[in-house]
Amino acid sequence: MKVKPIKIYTEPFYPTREFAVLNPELLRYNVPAIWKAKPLVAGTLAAFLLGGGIRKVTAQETEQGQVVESDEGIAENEQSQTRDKSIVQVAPLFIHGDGQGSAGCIVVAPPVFLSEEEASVVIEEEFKKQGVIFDTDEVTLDEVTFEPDTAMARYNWLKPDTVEKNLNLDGFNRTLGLGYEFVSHYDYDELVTGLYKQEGWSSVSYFSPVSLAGNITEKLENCGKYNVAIFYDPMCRIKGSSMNKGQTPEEYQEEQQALYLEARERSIELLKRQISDFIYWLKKTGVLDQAGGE
Amino acid sequence: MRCSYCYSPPVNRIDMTEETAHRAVEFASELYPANTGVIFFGGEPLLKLPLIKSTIAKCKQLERKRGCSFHFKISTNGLLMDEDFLQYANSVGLLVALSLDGIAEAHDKHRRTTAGEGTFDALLPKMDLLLQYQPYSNILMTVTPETVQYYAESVKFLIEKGFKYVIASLNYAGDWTDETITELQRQYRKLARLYERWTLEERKFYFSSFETKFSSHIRGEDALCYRCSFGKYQLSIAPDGDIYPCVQFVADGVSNKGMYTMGNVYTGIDENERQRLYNMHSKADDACMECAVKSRCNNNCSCLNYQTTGMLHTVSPVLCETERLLIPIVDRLGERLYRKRAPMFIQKHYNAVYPIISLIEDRN
Repeated sequence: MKVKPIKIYTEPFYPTREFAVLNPELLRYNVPAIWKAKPLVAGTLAAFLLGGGIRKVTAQETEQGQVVESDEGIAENEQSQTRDKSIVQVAPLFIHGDGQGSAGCIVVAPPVFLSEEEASVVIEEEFKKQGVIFDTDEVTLDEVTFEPDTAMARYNWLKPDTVEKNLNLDGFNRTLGLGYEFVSHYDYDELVTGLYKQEGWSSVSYFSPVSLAGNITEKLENCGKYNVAIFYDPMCRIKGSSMNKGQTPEEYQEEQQALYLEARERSIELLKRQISDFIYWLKKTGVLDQAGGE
Repeated sequence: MRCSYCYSPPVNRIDMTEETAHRAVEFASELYPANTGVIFFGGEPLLKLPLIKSTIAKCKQLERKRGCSFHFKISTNGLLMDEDFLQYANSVGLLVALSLDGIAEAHDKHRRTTAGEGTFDALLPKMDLLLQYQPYSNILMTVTPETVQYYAESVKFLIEKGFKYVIASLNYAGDWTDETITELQRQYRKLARLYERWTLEERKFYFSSFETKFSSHIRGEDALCYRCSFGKYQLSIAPDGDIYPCVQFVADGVSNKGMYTMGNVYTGIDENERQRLYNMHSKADDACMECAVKSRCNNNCSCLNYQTTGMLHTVSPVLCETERLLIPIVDRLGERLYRKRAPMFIQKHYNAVYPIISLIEDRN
């Protein structure tokens, strides 16, 4: 046996991943039957292929950096400048940022997670500019409940827990009857995966605050009692970089830290856009007139 | 156990102290606090379970104190694996990889006790136990010239048993001949037919030998980021705290001090030494430079080169021969599956979020 280089090798006739990026129908039209049979899986795949989850609102940047809404919720309310307090209108979920991702062993570009505290500082600061102060965080919405899906019982490693959980708001203004909830990866852990007792274990964790936020919005619509803003962690990904030749570990760590901070800044910016969209919606529905503002 | 193909047989053995183990994880988390992976290897790491528990407890303490993050894996021969251990493993997030060479005829050929008895029968009930606790656990399988005839049957056995991840490696240091290489080619063809059938049946599995070759074409250079890069992304710590670029350089129980030591957990990485080793690793074998499939081949694994030729950048003829026969078989398989538009093949290899969707599917 000898080392024998192959002089000519014809490229195989199955495409590279770039082809799939340029031709999304490859993934759209070739879905395993087993996935199609499971609505949640098929729905999640469709959401990924569309490039965002439950997209009720789209927002685009103008050249001046202003957010322009093209929002069905706002359009419906465009006419109503005076607010009837007996009617509770639930704001749509404003999508800015993927709001989903994985962390763990094989994940090479994990997302940045904003903590509840970090997000609260950003959210409350933005509302303060409108004259809205959230005076309590001790409001629990008894009608908005989260229960395990009993259909999961067929998996011997994923057992539904019997505990029912409620939504505790992160902030509430008693005068306006207006609250907010920031859906973090901790919330996803508590209100989605936390509903099950997992006996199996994987070293990769998946979080989808955006889908939980969509779920909460739906529950609020069904309940029809509360004015609550739902925001979610945009979960921007940390750009991966490998150590360059000649780079010291310290330089590499500094670079990693800078990439982390850059991703965190992007997440905060996207969260601000969610808030800005919500405030615009609030003004259109008349709630914010009562608060005064800058 | 006394596996006959062990690259690090137990001689002059010393044990890692708790202090060194704790310092090692502290040291590693300082290098990459966001996501530090700790892999326990041996010898047989379960012989030192109290040390493992104490080290993981130290990591959990560091997570609380410093906000860093750890994940854990262990490679075990499985003989000491019991329900108590698996409950503990699940409670701390320790992923178990089981060394198992396939069916009894293959496994018992090399993986024997000190008394010379095969260990397959003892492992059979443990496989079910492991799957019950960790359905995604990895099987680490070694194929040698003496067991190559059972390769396809062994992979079939493992997948049908319920394992989803089979990481197969050839023992390149074995005594491969033209006959056993021809047998390997026959086995790869059998495996290609099995892979095709399972994929068309929409079964989910990972068979490393084929997946890495698909990936090297489909993902091109992106696939390279999963390689260890010889001391850049993965370090191995010897019992005395010395740092090596790969486990292959740590002799069992004794630090293999010499030209491959690149520091110590107490004094840090010797950057000049690391760079020197990385430069040695980066230098490609002259013969490979003109090869059309060099970027898809495992020729840049310096540890394999060292193990087989004693040189970091000198490729073993066995590696070259086996890669040359594997790549075309995998490519023809990929072409067939793509031509048939096999949905599971397309999603698995072209959908960047396949692992996430797959996980959602498993949980629903």
